[in-house]
Amino acid sequence: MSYCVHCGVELAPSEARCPLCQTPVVDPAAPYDPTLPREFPIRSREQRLEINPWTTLALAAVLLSVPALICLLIDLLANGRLVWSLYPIGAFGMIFLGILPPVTLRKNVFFWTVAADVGALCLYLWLVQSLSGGEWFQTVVFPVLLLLGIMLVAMASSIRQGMLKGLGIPAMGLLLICVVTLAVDLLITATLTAQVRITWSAFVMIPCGIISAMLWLVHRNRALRSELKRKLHL
Amino acid sequence: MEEQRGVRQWFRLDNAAKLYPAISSVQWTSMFRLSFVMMEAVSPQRLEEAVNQVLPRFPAFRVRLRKGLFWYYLEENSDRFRVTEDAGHPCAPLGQGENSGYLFRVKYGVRRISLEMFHALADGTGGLVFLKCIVAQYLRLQGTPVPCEEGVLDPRCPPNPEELEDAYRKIPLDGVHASRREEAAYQMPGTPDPPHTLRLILAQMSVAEVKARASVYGATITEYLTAVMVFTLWQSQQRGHWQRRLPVKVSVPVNMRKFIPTRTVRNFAFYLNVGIDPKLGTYTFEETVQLIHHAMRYGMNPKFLFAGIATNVASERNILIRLCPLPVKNFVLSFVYHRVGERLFTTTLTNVGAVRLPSVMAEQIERAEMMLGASSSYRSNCAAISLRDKLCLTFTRDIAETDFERNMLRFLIREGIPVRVSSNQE
Repeated sequence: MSYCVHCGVELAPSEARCPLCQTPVVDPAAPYDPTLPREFPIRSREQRLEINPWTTLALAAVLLSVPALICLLIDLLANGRLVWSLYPIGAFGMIFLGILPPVTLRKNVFFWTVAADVGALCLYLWLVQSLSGGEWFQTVVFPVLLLLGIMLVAMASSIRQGMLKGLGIPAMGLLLICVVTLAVDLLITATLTAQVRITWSAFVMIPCGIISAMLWLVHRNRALRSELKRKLHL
Repeated sequence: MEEQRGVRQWFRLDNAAKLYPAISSVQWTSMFRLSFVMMEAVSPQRLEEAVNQVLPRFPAFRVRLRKGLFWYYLEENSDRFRVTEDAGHPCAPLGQGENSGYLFRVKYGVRRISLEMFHALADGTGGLVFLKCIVAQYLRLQGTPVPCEEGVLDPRCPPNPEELEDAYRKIPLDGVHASRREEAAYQMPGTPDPPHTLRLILAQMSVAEVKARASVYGATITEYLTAVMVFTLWQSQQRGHWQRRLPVKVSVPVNMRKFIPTRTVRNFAFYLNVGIDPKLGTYTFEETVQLIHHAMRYGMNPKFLFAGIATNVASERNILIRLCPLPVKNFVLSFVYHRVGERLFTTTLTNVGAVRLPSVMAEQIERAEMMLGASSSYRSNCAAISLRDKLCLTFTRDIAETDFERNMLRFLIREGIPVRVSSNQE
């Protein structure tokens, strides 16, 4: 029989380490044998809720198709043809596409959710443009949404891999806002005036950029961070 | 009380049970588990047969939960019961439609027979009667003649109506009213685990050694263990940087069958929150034991306990509350319980006490275990049960840290009580 050198408790032969303090069992007279039967089944690392994804999707489809059908019927009864109902129907379709990845997937959920959301939003806005006319989708909206999606995925994977931590996350978030605002401004100006120049986005970029730089500085400087914690702790 | 409606029988939930379905969710159900570790390997087929032979004797457990317009109710369930392997983590929330809607599970391990029960059905005492009957029948099917004594009921007899009664209704109500106001307690810090995860540590010790140590302080085993718990929690609280020195309180369920004789196998328990207040200064262990000893003696008085229950029963009987639709009741009960009820104590120590079994049955059982399911507010809980000289304390938690268990067991070691531990961790 082995005892924990820290806690003093006797350990069951099936324990590789003390369950109280995680100290490994080192007993030359009775080395740990992983083939010994355990007293309890081992706790799984993570157990997901057993909800059937297809049931959830079917429920979502029914819930979304009821208001879509009502819109369609009202539009047809009132106008005798489709005038406005394709807008809400498109929106319901966009919501359905958006919930597909988080419900059905188990791996890379964030990446596929962002991809599906950007894709669904692009499809919907293209539909709106097709119904109302204009060129704004391919000139402004599509590049901005694509950029936003790529930046969100890049930021999420940086957080997951531990490259972005603590105050670095809001600093990078604000930087992302700066880049997207700049892209929107440049694309709109280029479309309207055929010139590439910065206009209103400067008012967003300057405060966001300054705050982002400050947060990044605090994030990188351990002494400054500790001093701020000392002064501002609750 | 049992009532008739068409061919299927149905039961009202008892006073305590009314709370549990309302506060349960897909992620959390109030469950507890009782186990017997047998001397020999368990046969699943024989166990399933034993459960299905015993079930008709317990109409209160042969049910599924149904929703009415104003209250939940239990409806007779005549489907065959299936036993399951003890493979996943214990006391998982009951899934919708799991096991034909039965509100309990019977699991088999290599040598362990476990009964996991939804608290809406019964308390620890009722659950223990059921488990004893299942295991007795299992042994009979194996060829061991187990007599119907020491709380083992005869499965061939018709159910006794007294076993199905809502014993809370026996409490005298006459104008009794106790305030529910109570100061919030210290909550142990911890990193929450993902849903459907329960970590357990089983600590085995000798009843005689714990009893001898408790008697040095003039306390019972429950009082002594509660005092150790309160004292080690208070020490942890002192090491932390908490701005508010909230009282450290342990919730100890009280078996009301001691005060009002009843044969009910359904819920009939109340609770007592005992502890120490750090605002009054520092404490030695001797002082803590004395405070807990006197608080429990003072609190375990029919006057206090009846008044607490009478207040709950009076609320249940209030016409305005009764007329409230079930979804509204669920929302209010769930909100109040999670925001207020769970904050009134730091942890729970439930002690079912010494298990008494017919001697031929006791020879076949190595030890008894009891554990509480995860609490809804991320903490560790503890349950105690003893068979012969083996006292089993099972700590269950849904947080990563083991500070609570470690401090308490190290304290018992320092008190001179040898402890053997095992867990469900890798």
